[in-house]
Amino acid sequence: MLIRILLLLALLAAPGIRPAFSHEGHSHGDEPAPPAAAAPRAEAHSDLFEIVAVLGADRRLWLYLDRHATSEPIDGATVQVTVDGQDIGTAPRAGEAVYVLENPALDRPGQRNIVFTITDGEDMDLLPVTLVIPAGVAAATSAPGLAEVASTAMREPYVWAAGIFLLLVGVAVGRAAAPRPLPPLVVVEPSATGTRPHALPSGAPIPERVAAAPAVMALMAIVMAPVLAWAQPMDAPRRQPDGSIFVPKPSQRLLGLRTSPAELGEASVTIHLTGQVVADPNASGRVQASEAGRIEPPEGGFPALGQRVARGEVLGFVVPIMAAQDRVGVRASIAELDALIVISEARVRRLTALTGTVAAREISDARADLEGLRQRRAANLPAVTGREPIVAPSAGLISVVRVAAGQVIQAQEPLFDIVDPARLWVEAIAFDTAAVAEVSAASAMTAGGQVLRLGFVGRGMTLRQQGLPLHFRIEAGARGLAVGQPVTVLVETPRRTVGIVLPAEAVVRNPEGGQVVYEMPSAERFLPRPVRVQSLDGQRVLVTVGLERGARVVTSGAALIAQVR
Amino acid sequence: MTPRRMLLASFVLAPFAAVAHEPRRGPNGGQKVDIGSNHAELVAEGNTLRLFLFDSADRPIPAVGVTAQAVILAGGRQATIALAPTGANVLAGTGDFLAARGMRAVVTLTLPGQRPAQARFTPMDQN
Repeated sequence: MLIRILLLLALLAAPGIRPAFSHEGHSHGDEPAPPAAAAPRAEAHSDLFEIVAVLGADRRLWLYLDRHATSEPIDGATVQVTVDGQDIGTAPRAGEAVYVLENPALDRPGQRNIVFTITDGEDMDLLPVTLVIPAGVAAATSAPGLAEVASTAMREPYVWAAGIFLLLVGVAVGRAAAPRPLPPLVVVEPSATGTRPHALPSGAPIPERVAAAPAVMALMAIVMAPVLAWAQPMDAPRRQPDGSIFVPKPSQRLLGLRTSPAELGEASVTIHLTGQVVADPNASGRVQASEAGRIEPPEGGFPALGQRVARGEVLGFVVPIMAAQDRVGVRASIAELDALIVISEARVRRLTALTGTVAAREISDARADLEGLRQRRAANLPAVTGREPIVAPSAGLISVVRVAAGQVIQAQEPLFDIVDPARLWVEAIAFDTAAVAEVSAASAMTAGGQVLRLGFVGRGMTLRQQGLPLHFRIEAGARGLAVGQPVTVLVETPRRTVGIVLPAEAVVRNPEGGQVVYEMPSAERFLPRPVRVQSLDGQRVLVTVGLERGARVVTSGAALIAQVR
Repeated sequence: MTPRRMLLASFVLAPFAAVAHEPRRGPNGGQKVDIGSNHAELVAEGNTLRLFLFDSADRPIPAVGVTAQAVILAGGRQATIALAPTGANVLAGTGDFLAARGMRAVVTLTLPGQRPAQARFTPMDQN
């Protein structure tokens, strides 16, 4: 027995030490077998097609046809089947890319050589498989017949004796642990009539249990119903002892699994930076008051958030406020000017009446004096009665409003921010200044997965909070962005590395936290391959270590395979 | 074979069991692949097929008493050809097909006293 266990362990350990022994002379063997509990199955592939044949419990042969490179199901193909050299016709379609075949040739137990001739449009191929049909009426999924049980019992009496012994032990434990009526903790006084017993009779069923029995039966029926209803041979996906994962074809179809061959490619080294969306300084503006005052709305009211404004549009008015002392001073000087104007006007009138006797120079001096006084008065007047318009410095959308009618503001207080949504920038902070010395391309990704194409604008020459600020222009994909929104910036440098380019969703985390991709060495078997990856942009990654070229890699549905236990 | 020897054998053989064998060029210019526990090389010329038999160490196997059948897919048509021994380790047969690039063949080989074994060939596709 110990020897057998060791034998099993040796076989399981074999793939681990495989690379050291690959050579010419060999013994022929196949891929590791699917789980013993799975239905009998066989698979074959060419560079075009991959076919999996599964013998169902009802003796029908279910065929699953896919493209080999992409694992894409092929619907509507013609599959002609030859069993041991005898043509048994084409397999009719049973579902999407599923074909089913029923033939007496598949009832005889033993090893069957089957050849599939597959025609899908222009593509034709021959695929041979060898299927071992087990003895017995219903192959793997139903209970063995009575005669078979008896013969097995004859062949392996010790196993059965052990089983029966364990059953008896179980029954004995069950009997010992059965609930018994305990003696009552409180002695019930016999009632006056004396008809009520002290405790329930030991043989009577407990009322709660009687009520629960139908509920338990119903629950069992609900749980069992889907299991009994399956027509296709549904084998459960499972993790095998050698670390590989067995996922039968029907489950792969449910998961929408796709693969692609690993091709060696070249990609530039990318660096991740954190950044945020900022406004383009040439296409945005901040409206500030130049002096302290009280704010007044323009004709149609203050602009609202998101409202488009044109350059030079009046957004409001500031009525300057003055200290009482200042105001009194201005008023006094206006009054003084008014008095001087009256005197000056009288003087001009008088001199004009004496034209001819008075020198013309005196008359023109008096007129100039009067004009100067009037202008001084006009210049002083707005200080107590005028207001200053606030105009938009650039065109765009109002992004911040910080005013209310009648609010008193200080000089330089920001009132409105104007942003042009078509012209936004991204500011990124690089802590490794040497790494971003050359920038060949850049892209950014928002927390929501939106990808933005960026154009490099420039880099600062002064560190800010230990980091070097870099500015990028958003060239495409700027819908729904907001100023201040954090983004991840991927900067491509001119340095190149060689590796295998895969979609980002092909890389998943294993339970230990490492990054793995799933290789598909055969039709229903998946191997986790620990890899080292670099992300290229939002959608693609570069696998630099851990994957050989030509391997078939799961590109869609990898996260679901990782969850198989 | 005692269990102890089986254990030893499993340790020696198990690492090789999983080795995948790519089709390769045979000594007669055809394509050589694994068939059952042996090797076979298929040469296709015109409408003739020749099948050379080797064991797992690439030593020729006598073709006496061997039967083989080939299913061929060439030019969009399928043909079935019986192969008969014609030489020391050679079986040959002719049929209604023309060897061309893209041709596929499945050979079912029955060695005397053994179960039939199958293999797939693409004899015209190797470079």
